[in-house]
Amino acid sequence: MYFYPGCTLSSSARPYGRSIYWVCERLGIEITELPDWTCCGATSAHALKRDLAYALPARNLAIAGELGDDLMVACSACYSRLKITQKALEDSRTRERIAALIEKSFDRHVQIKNILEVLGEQAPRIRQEKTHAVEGLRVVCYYGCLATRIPRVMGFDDRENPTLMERLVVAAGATAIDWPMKTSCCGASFSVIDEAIALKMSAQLVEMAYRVGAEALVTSCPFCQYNLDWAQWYLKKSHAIPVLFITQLVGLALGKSERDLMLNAHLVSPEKIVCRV
Amino acid sequence: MSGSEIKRGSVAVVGGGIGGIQTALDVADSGFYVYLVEDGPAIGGHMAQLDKTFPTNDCAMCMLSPKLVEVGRHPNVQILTLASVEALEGQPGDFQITIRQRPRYVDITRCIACGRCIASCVYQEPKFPSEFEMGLGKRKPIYIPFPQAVPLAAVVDPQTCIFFKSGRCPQNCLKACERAALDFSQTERIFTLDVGALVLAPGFEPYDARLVSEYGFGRYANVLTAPQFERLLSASGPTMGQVVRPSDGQAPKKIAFIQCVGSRDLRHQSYCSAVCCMYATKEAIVAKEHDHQIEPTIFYIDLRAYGKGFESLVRRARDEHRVRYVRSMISQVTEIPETKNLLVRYRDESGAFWEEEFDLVVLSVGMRPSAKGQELARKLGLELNEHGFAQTSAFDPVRSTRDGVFVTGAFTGPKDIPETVIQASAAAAAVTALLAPARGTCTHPKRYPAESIPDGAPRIGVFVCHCGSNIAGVIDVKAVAEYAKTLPGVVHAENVLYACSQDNLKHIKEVMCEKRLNRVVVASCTPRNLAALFQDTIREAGLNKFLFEMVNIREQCSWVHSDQPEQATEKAKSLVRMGVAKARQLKALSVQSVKIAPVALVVGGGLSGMVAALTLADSGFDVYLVERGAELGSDLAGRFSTLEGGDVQSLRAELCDAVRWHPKIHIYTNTTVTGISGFVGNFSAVLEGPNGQERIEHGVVVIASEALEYKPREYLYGQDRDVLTQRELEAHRETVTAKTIVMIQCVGRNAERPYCSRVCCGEALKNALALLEQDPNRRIYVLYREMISSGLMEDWYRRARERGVIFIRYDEQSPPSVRRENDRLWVSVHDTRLRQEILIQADLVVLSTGVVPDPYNEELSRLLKVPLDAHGFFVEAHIKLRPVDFASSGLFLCGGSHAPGAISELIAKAQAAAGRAAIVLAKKEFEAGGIVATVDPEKCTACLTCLRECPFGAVFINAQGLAEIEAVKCQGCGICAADCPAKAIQLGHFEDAQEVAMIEELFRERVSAL
Repeated sequence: MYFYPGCTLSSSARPYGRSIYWVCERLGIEITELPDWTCCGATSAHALKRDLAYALPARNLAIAGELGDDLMVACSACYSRLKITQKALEDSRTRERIAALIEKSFDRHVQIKNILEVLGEQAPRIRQEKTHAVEGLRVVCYYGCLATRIPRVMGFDDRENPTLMERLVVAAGATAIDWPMKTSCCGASFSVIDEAIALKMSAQLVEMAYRVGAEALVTSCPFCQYNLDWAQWYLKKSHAIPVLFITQLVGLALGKSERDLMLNAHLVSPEKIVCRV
Repeated sequence: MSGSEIKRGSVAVVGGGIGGIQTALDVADSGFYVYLVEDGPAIGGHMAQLDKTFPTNDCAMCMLSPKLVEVGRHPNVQILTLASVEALEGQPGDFQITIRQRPRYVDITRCIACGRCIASCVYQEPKFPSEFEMGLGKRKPIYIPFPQAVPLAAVVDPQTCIFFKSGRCPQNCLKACERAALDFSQTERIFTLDVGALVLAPGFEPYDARLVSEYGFGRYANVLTAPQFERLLSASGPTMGQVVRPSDGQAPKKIAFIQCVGSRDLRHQSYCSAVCCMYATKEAIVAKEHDHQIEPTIFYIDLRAYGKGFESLVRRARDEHRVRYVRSMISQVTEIPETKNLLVRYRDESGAFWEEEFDLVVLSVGMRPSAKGQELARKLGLELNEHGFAQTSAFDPVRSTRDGVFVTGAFTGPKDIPETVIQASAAAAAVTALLAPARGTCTHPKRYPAESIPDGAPRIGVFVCHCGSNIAGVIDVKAVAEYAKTLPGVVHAENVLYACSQDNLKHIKEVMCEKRLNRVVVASCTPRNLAALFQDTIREAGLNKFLFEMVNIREQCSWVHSDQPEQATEKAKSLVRMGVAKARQLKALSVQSVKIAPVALVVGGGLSGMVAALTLADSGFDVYLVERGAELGSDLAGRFSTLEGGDVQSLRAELCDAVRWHPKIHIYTNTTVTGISGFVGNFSAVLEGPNGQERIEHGVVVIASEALEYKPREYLYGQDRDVLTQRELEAHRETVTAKTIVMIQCVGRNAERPYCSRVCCGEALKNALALLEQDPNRRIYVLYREMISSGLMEDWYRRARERGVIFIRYDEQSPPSVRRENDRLWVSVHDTRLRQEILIQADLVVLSTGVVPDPYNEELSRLLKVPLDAHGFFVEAHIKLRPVDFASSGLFLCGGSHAPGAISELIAKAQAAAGRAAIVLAKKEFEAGGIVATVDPEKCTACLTCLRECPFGAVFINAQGLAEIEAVKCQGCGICAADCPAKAIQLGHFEDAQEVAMIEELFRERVSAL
């Protein structure tokens, strides 16, 4: 299976990238970085031009198609763009237009898998092989707004109340707490354009996590992780809650050290929860 | 006539909701044998689960329960529960249907619903979600579906019963049953039935709120569906009518209703579910009546209050009950973790965003076609429409795509109760017309021995029922029977285990002969269910059926005083003493058999009148069709198509032809009814026409008066040639050249005429789409208050928006204005969404003016003594369950002057009215008299109180100048007897002397004890 890391996994979300490779190796999931991959266009391209927004992810899909294997995606924005593009390419005229633009063809259908789907299949193994590293840790799972939407396009879990991440968290030995903001928006790229908006939205999320008694937030989206982490740093809340990637939590449970998982790279220190164990 | 030459006199009705029940009753009352096939363990359907019904907020069960009892006891209806139709062979008139009946594990002929089996079940507490309580209550594996269930018998659910799951169960229920009614060896039965026709009424299912996951149903404890909330409101529901939150049992203060859950939503169902605006309004009011602290808010898109009485209910909700309506579609509900309150975010009409906390959220889930119904359609080879509802034609709303198979109710699209009942009667009429030659061939008329006149002193027999342990477990029934023996006039008293069992009924008849009894008293349960059974029994023994009295020592004694057995026994004795006292005073009442003239008078020769006349004539009855105007079907003149594309002019031509050439229809045009007298079965009417006067004799009257388009005074109508009404536009649609067209809805709808005319939004959509079809470059604006595209009409509303019709909402308080300036028409309107004044230069302005009742109704109302409402529409006997009957027997109504409706709705209503009328005519004769009021001429002072009070028009002033009551019209309600200031009126079987004797008897013992 090829792995499409997207831009963030080697920049702001390096801990995510690193923990993904480690967890996958540990669980025997063979992943190879997609050769010659390019940016998915993320939030900018589709705001500018429709064909550009399709062409960027389409190029990556075409490469995966040529190589003939499934494609795992971790970032919610990348996943969303790839899925939406794949859906749009079902239309023959769009497909022809985009193929001409990128000078590649889409002969083979590529199975795009969200990292949660891939890890979900390994939940029994995680349960069997886990240590007590995160035993009883009270976490809330945060999917963000993109991973499960648009519902007819994504479709790997319930759009309003997904539960795949909770299953992983429980398999790792932690306690998943239900909360009402699993799929609310963190403010996304407003943290770049208009900080106040993103801060307000992220602060609401952190506040709610605190109210339901969470000791940690777990997410599968790099942008969400960034926003929630940054917002707390900025707001200097007395009750800061560390924000972990799901692969970091699973990594901890499977015995990897916090240093290897780059837990210290986050703004809100996960010290409390790691030392607790 | 289609199909086989053989016509069978039996009919299968599939589905035991209100639609199926009404069809079964109508078909059976018309002289056919009915198999009522119900998938569940009891009939009643969704209506049984409702607390109240809109717009009158009457108790649903109180209306339904008598129907349940009636169909349960009907000699020509056989109810098959837990049964489904598997296959259909043959042809119309001669079908063979295959029925699969699942085992109940309880013999309903033996079970008396005493509940001992349930009490003894190994599950000490109810554990499984109750289907009837929508999961809010629990039941055991053996249970009675609901207290008023018909058949009233226990049922075993093999999915949850330990015996079926593991085989290891002590089967306490089996041992507890005193009637040996349980039988765990029952197996599935597959059998065939011969029937002439089928009516399918499988109904709907509420939309699964889980699928609309943004509202958190199933995830957040305090998010309920409206059907669940209905159970919370019900006094017999899981909380005994306490409105409490599931999370903490606390009384909620703020309740949010979210409309269109699963409806008007392309992710779910595109259509409007037609009933939710009104049921939410009803639930909000009823909740407030339960607890005045409650503050309900209804979040809606369009408020669709389009039926009879709906508008005034909404007004009452808003003004009197302070129900808050907020026009906003809700996109998300969030639970507050600490309080389990719910946060609703909305945008009000001023554009401001709000976040508001509610204690409870109720989701107004829509209707979807039931999975069972769709499976049934597949098995029977019926076509369904794109939404999964049964396909019918606009001009034949109850005919399916297979001959001889009729469809009714919510199976054909979202519907409320009256519409369902109308369709049920319409389907029954269609069936009886199809099978008319076979009428009476499968039914069993009952024959009785001659009646003996009781001679001499009363000889009373008293039968005191144990009802298993229901009564005997509390009351010392032996002592009651012994006590009864001591009462004057009693020659026989005994205990019986089950008074209602077949063997006991036989025993009663034997004792009556042996002891020469001339009065019978049964002390058992409520007379509501069984009095008729016992009356029938004594009649079979040759005694007048009114020489019977029933004493209720179960519901009103043993059940309510179960912890005071001694006092309960004393009370039972008192009740029996009173019953015996009344029995001593009972008189035989005579019923006379009145012949029915098998002829119908249909007043009004419009669409409804023609359909009604044809339906009656096809059922084999002569019809006088009387029309004031020169032409038949003039209400259809100038109308060309329906929204669905039906051709109105060919409909009119076909109907006119069929009516004209039907040998049983006698047409009188240019004719009015100038006088009418008589009573059901024997009316006599005077017709005045071009050929002078003619007197006709007939058995029933159908008023088929149509509504008229309102001719406006508003918006330059009549002054400007470019201002038309919708009907005028339709008549000239082909020649319209205008480019910019503005349609204004709700014209002339004001305080005097506040009701919604129901049809205008559909007409506007139809004409707008047709105009765009002619010329796609047109600009069409529709200025509306609320878009009433209810039910499947919603699809056309969507289509119109997709085609570019611009809909602008205006507020009732600031209507648009139209003026001509510089030879141009200008329409200005305040757009409530943009909050701006919009000025449109129009080539043509089309006014949707709605309908008004025919002013002639007033004369008909005087002539027939039938009531009109404040707006001039006729008032039916009961807005929910008798929508096409008048309160007075033998009079029926349909047409737009009953209530406005689209063509297909008017057709169904006309068929229904004709069907109801045909039931009367099919009987050939009826029994009159019995429990009726009579005037003592010696005491009458002709004060006219009774004449004014009688709701049935049974009182008249006779030649002597005194009040007299026509026995055939009297319904025995007793209003006149109670109100007569001179005490001149007595109601048979409830005479003053009889009632006073009971009261005296009650206090006699008390006084002597003191």
